[in-house]
Amino acid sequence: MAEPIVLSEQALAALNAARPWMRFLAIVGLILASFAVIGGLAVMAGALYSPFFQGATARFVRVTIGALYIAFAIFLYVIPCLYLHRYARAIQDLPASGQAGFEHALTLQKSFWKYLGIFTIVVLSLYVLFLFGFILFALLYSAAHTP
Amino acid sequence: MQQPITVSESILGSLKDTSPWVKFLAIVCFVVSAFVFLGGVITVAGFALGHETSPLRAVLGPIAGIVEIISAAFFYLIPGIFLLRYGNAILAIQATGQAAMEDALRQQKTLWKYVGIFTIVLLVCYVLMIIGLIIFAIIYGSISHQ
Repeated sequence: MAEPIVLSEQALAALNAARPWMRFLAIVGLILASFAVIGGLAVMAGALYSPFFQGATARFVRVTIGALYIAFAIFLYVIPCLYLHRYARAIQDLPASGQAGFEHALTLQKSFWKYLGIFTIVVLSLYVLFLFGFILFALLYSAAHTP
Repeated sequence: MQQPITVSESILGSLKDTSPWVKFLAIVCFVVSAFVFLGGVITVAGFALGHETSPLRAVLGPIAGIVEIISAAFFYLIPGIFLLRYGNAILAIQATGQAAMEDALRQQKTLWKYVGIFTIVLLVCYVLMIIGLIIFAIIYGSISHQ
């Protein structure tokens, strides 16, 4: 029978060595996210209250861009950083939290990578759709305006 | 004495579920790295072959291209390699056992440490750039108002 794999001293040391970097990145990510949210709110406020933008369409577009920016910031920065921070916290609880704690930590890690993976797939798909939409728009526009 | 934590079936399952996502992100990193590298090469080639009149742009253009090439390597290619190594190391655990487990966790530590260090370097560069720009603006403004 194969020898059971144990969370040895070296393994635990490697996890604990990674932990401060994970927490640092999680905190930096959340700070960047707050900058992005403030920036997005500023764009939206500017679109709504500035006299520079004439017409409802221009305002609407700007407000939407601002809102999208905030949403993007939340999905790309806040959520992964929260996952990462939870993972780092779970590592900190080792080895006191025992078997269940280790399982919990690794489940959190899997959630982190899975979230990033799914998010990347969604963004790439949006890029492809956007590209197709753009090409279609360009074709239709030139067809409609050909004399 | 505290019972040692063993890598149970469910833990192995979690790890094996982690690996495909890690390897997918590694591939995305490689593809993005290739695009950024190409962009940098095209930028440098464009400035070398084209006819740039402004002396400032003639210097900054190729520099921007070289920065792109360097960032392709450091920000995308190397993390991609670390991600791939980590993803493979996870898969080796079930077959190879204890040593593979320690190796996988070491790869993970290397990955996070690398990303952490280059984030610090990047933030320091941003701060220096902002300070540099402010100084440049002040000097330029005071010179042109003589």
